[in-house]
Formats: sequence, structure tokens, C-alpha cells
Amino acid sequence: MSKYFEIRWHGRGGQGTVTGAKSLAEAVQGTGKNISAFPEYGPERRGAPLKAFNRFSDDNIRIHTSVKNLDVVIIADPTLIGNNALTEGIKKNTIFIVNTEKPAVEIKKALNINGQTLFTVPANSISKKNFNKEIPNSAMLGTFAKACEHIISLEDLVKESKHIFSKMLGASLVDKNIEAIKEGYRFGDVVYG
Amino acid sequence: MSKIVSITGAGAISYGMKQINPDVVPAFPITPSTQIVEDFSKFVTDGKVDTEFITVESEHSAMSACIGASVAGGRVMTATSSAGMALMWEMLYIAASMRQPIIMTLVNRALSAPINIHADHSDSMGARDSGWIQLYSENHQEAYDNLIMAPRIAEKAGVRLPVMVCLDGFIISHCLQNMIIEDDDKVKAFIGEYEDRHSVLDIKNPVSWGALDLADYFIEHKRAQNIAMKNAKDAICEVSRDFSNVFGRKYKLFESYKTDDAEKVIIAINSIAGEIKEVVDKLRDKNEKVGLLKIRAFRPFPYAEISKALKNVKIIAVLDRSESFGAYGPLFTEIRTALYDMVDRPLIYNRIYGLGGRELSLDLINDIFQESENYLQKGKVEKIFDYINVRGG
Repeated sequence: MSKYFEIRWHGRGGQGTVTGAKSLAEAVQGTGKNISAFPEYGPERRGAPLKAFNRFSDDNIRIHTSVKNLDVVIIADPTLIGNNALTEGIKKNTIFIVNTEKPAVEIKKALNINGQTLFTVPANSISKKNFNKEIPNSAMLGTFAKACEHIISLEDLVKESKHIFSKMLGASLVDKNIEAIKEGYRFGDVVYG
Repeated sequence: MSKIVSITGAGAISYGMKQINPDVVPAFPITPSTQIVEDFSKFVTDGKVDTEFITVESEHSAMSACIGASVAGGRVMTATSSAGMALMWEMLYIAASMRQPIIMTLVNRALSAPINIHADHSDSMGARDSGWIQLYSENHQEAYDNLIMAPRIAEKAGVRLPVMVCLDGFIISHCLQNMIIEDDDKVKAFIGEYEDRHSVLDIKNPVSWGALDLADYFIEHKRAQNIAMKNAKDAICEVSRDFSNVFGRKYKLFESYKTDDAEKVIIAINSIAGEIKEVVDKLRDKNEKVGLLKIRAFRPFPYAEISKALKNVKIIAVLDRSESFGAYGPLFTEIRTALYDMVDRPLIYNRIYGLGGRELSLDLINDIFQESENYLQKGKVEKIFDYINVRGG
């Protein structure tokens, strides 16, 4: 991979998007890469659009500036579609991962993008089924492993996530999160660029 | 065994404090240093440390309690930012002048007004004459390592001064990154047992602290304090050497990054050094002779060592992340002073950047090296002082 693999997350305050970026980073670090995860710092307001960023690298990560060279854009909340910030600075080969129940072709049209690969994942319904509420992160991590296998495989993601979640959660919630990761990997639609 | 962990900068500091296990931590939380105090209070509640944790009603009280606990013979630590340290002002001077080896992490943040929570160095630069040793940190690892070294430096006989460990607010404090956390026992062995001196609780040798000291002796005491600060320079070098022997990572008073044959050098402090290194590497690939000098110890300031390190340099851009209204930036002033005794002095100019957390991009850093090249070709600096990435002007 090029020196830094860079990700931008779009979510809303209170949905756990920053936690999503941090969980992904921790899992990727477990595979031996260098990582960073940080939000766009500002006043935190529940429901307001926010961004979070990741950098992954085989080298030391020395830069802290906001991510500009986008390898992946993750949209954790589909109601953000229509916001120009979602496609700002994208490249021809930027990969999109969108939490939505809708078909990938429709989302691509709604985002007004051309040529980029886009994965969808019904993360909210996966989450509702497993946790009885909408916490889409784990399912989206599973989709990330499908979209970016060269960064982290599903097997490594499951292994690392078990370790990370076990530090914070009880056994039954750990299992449910792992199930959500696997379903996020399995379900959803894709349209290739 | 040391381990690689993903942790925020603030988390790394609180973890280091846990390993140091100080006797007393009086604290009052303030953004962006809050997580340090928050995490540490959990360590106290969970019984992971033996520390007496004192929650106080203000930062002035926090530092007052630090001083009280220190003169009572305890190893004492705290953390703060910006306005929090500003409220400690009176006590900062008292801590240093009473020669108490208190360790304080300062998560750098702009001072109001207008109110701003983001990184700049106006808080620590304002306190540069308070008598505290100041160590600055580029990243998580350096912040943690500086903290582990701080007690040894502060407590050394001949020094006995408080140490401020500085790191950039949010950019480092809130960013999750992987770093090496050393083994608890190794850290404990490196720090060593605290040796109290002239404790007020040593009733066999009664002492008085904070006495009145008028014109008959005051200046002698201030000179003694300055000698202690000069001794701190050797102490920093010695402790850093020991640290490197035990943990492998090398630190000096400043870091010279590709400066040996450099013609154009940027001098800066804290996290921006990472971005500058990135640009230096890119320009080096194009055979440009560029480098970075990153300050670690700002107090004591290593004048002679810096002028020696820069003797072959042709032009220097000094980046200040704080204002000294009506004067040049504080780092520039020191660097230009350091250069004065050189026979062939390089060209030098000052740029203010990043106040209140404004980002300085790699492109803008590249532009600084380009500006240096332009000045070099003209043989003179056209604008000695200016701002980078600012509207108007």
C-alpha cells in the first residue's frame, strides 16, 4: 500500500462513529500495523454531522492533519446523503461504505459519484436484530473487512475484536458484536467502479 | 515486558502516572487535559495506585495542594491546560522558588479570549519565566517518555525544580495512536524511591517554608534558583542517557533531524515536527538539503548546543505557535540569541502558525522551505516576521 491508508468517517453525534474509527484502528493495530484515529474536533452535539479519521501504515505515522488522500469513505448514517462533505476530496479509486437498506446503485446515484466502488450494509437492521437498538459500528466493521481485505481480513477482525470487546463488554455482548461483524461481512450490496 | 498499545496521548500520560504511582495528585480537570485526571481517578478508585487523590475547587488550589504535599515530603503530580494553568500562576512561581520537584503535564491549549479549546503554546510560553523546567513532546511516545524521565530530572540533587511536560491539546491528547508502554517494574526501577528533603513532617529537623525574604537575601536565592536551572541541563542529558540505556529510545535537549548537511532548516516545537519531518523527507528525495531542529528542552534553553548544531546552516525559519504581542515569537527570540555569537550567522526569520488549533498543512510547510530558498538566492530575508495561513494582512 502507499505510505498512508486513509479513511474518513461521516456520522452524527451520539451514534458512536468516533468509537467506530477507534475500534477499527485498534483491530488493525492488532495485525501489526501503525494506526491513528481521531475525530474532527469541535463542539460535540447529539445529532449534528461529524467526521472521524483513520490512518494506517507500515511506517510510523508522523502526521496529524485531517485526512485528505481518501482511500475509504464510511457513511454511518444514510440521512447524511445529500451533504456535499461526503464526497469532498474523493479520488477515482476511493471506496465507499454506506450504512443503508437501499441498493448500491441507488445510493451511488444519490451521492452523485461516478466510477467509485460502493458497498452498502444494512447495519441498522443487523444491529436491531442483535442488540435491539441502532448501533451500526460492528456491522460496518465487517463490511470494511470485505471491502479492504488487504488492510484486515475477516478472520483477523473477528480475532482482534473479540480481544478488544472483551476488555469493555460481557461475554454475551461480545458474541453479539462478533455476530454483527460477520453479518456485516455477509450482507449488503456492492457496485464496482 | 513492554507492549504496543493503541492509546490517546492523554491516556498515555495517565498510564505513565499510574506506573510512577505518586504519593499525592491534586487536580482540577480542564479540556483538553481532562482525560488524564479522569483516568487517574479511576486508577485510584480501583486501587491500582496508592496515591492520595485530592479533588480541589480550582487550579490555584490544585497547585497550592501540590506545594503543600511536596513540602510534606511526597512525590506529587498534576495535569492541566490553558486557563487552568493561568489560574495557578501565583503558585507556579512559588512551586519553583521553593524548589519543589512537582511534575505537571500541561496539555497545550490557547488562552482566551476569544474562548478556544485547541492547541497552541500560549499557555506554556507565558510560563517560561516561572522557574519550571519545560520539556516538549512531538507525539504520544515522547510525552510518555518525558513523563517517565521527569521525576528523575526534577528530584536530582542540585536541581530540585518542578517539571512541566508539554504536549499538544487534541492533536496528541485526543488522538488514538499506537505506542510502546514499558513494563511497570522497569519504570518503577527507573524512577526509584522518592527522597524527601527538608520535609515539614521531619520533626527532628524542623524547617520553615515560605518565609519572608526581602532585599537582604532575595537576589541570592534567585541566583541559586538559576544555577539549579542551569544544572537541569546536565540532568536532562544524564537522565535521557540512562533512559536510552534501559528503554532504547534516545533523547537529547533537542532533536536534529537531517540537519548535518542541511542548508535550510525549520525550527519548531511539539506535534508539528511530525509534519515537518514528512516534508523534509519528501524534499530530501529531490536532493534538497533541508532539515528540522525540534526543541525538547525550552527551559533550560540550550543556547550553545543549538548554535553548534546549526553552524553549517544557511537559513532558518523559526515557527512559533504562540504570540508575544509587540515582539517576535518566544522561540524565535531564543534562537536568534543563540546564533549571535556565531562567526557566520545564518539568515533567520519568524513565522507564527497554528494559533487556536489552526492546521498547518504539508503544502504550507513545503512553502516555508521554498520561501527560505527564495531568501537564500536573494541573500537576504525580506519579511522577518509574518503569519502563515491567516486571512487579511
